[in-house]
Amino acid sequence: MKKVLIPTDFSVESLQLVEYAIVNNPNTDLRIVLVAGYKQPDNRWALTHFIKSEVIHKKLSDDYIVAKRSLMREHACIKAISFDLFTGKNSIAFQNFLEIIEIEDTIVPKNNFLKCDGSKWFDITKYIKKNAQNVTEVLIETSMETPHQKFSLNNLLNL
Amino acid sequence: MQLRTKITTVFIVLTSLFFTAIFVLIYYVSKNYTESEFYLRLSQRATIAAEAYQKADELNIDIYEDIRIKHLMTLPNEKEVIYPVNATTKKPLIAFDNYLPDKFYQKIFNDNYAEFKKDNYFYTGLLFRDVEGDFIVVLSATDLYGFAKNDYLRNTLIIAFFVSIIFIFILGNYYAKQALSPISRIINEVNSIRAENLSQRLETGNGKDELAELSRTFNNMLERLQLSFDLQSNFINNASHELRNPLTAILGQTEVALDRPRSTEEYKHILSKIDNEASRLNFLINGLLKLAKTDFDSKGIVIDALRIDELIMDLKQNLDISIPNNNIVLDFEELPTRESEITLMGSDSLLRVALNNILENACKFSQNSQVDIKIISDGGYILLSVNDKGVGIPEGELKNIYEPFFRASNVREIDGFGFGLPLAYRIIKMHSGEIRVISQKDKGTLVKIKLPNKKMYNNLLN
Repeated sequence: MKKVLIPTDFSVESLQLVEYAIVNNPNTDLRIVLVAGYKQPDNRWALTHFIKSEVIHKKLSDDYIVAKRSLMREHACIKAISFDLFTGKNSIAFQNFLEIIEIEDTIVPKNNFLKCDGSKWFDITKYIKKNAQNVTEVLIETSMETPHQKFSLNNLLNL
Repeated sequence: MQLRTKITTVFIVLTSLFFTAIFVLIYYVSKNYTESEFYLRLSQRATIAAEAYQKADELNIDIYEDIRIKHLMTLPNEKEVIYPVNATTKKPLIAFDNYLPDKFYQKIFNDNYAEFKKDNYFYTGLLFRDVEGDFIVVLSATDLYGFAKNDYLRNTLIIAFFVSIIFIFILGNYYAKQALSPISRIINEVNSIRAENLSQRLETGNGKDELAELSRTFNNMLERLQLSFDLQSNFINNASHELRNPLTAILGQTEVALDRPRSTEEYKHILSKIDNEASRLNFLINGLLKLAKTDFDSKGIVIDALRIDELIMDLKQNLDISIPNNNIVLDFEELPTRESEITLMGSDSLLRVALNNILENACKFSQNSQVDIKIISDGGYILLSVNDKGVGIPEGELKNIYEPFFRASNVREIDGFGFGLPLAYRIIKMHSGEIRVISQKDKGTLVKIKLPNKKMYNNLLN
């Protein structure tokens, strides 16, 4: 069984990386670890009440859960998909993180594919590229339109 | 009536009604407040008059009256009348003025206070009980300032009403124009689309509102139209090409045969070659006739309810004949037990072509190594995945695989026309499905097909 680390932004599209892991590792059972970057709270109250699983649970949309479930049903080689958060701020922290989760392989997007919006979430792709062994970069074509001028008055008036 | 005029009119009528109600309310509340304030002043004046009356014996009444008129502000047209009465029997000692109604006096007797308004005059009546005899003070005055204030307020409100209606009309008209401008744009864009530029798509803007939804619907319709067009034109192209090849071969062979006298053996050899080509031609024409009968009839594509597992098994059986050493492994473990979940609505022959192309490609480009096929059903969709461990597609070329006659750079030596996947893509799209190809060079390819099941297909149609 191979443990593969894949960065995620909790969008259904990001699960394409899991499919690339399947193609890249034919005839191999996989344990997928989906990891997102999360900035730890900076005050003591929030820090004492910070629970990784709760933060992840809040972030999971229904569509994402359905897509993940379908993926596991479609591919018997995926034995488990788990989530983790990287809460560090530098490469040393990331190396420690990799050591703890004992990763054998990583799949990352070549282009800037993951959209980690909000001040709390960040893309860990650059940390993976810099620090992990066995990194496979894949090119993913994005078909989703990114809405621009989301809150502009012009948009509202022009309907 | 134009939609724009209609929206503006409805908007103005609704706002006018709303403004009228609000302004009338403001006017009446203000008027009532002015009147009640004036009655209060009247009753205060009446109290002063009553005190003057009560103390008439003790004071110098003339001086008192003089002070009252000069220094305590008199109301316009102020007039006071004092009636001595018997409060117990509720009877006046001198007759009341007939100008005011009886019920006004009765109210004074009952409540010790009454108000009345006639023409522009306000009347207040107060009952005073005194040891020297009860009496009623009736004080009347006109509220000239109050009337002027009310008139001024009324005029301001009327002007404000008309000014706001004019502004609302201008703004409403502008906004309606702005709101409907995307519709005019859509109309222009749709009008500009002809058979020659079917690939053109409408702009969907920020992609969230109803008009973007309309544009998307149009785009989807255009996509389906383009697919049908492409399918037909490519079909003709390919059919002509396929028909020409054996014909050219036959003509070539006859030309060789007629070139000079030949031995019987040679003629036999040439005729057998002609026979081969003619059989190929016959096979092709029969196939075309069959396709024309089943699908491209006058009513369009024939849609039937199909079971995906049966379709795949049928294709596997056919492939076992055409590619005997194929290594297709069917995984129906996750297949739902309910038939409706794996039944889809579609054209049997077209879907056969599409899926056959995909399966054939998987076998062909993996040198007949293992090809895993799995079918699951989830959320109204049938998900089919075809995973091979073949040569894969170079990542830069993945975006071109749906282009007709495109062939990846690493499969040039393998036979093919580059027509299988584009055709499959178009057929899947025609069935409101999705197809995705995930591939890594020298590792393999994963083809994922998502097709709506019968129930979802009917929902999508509605």
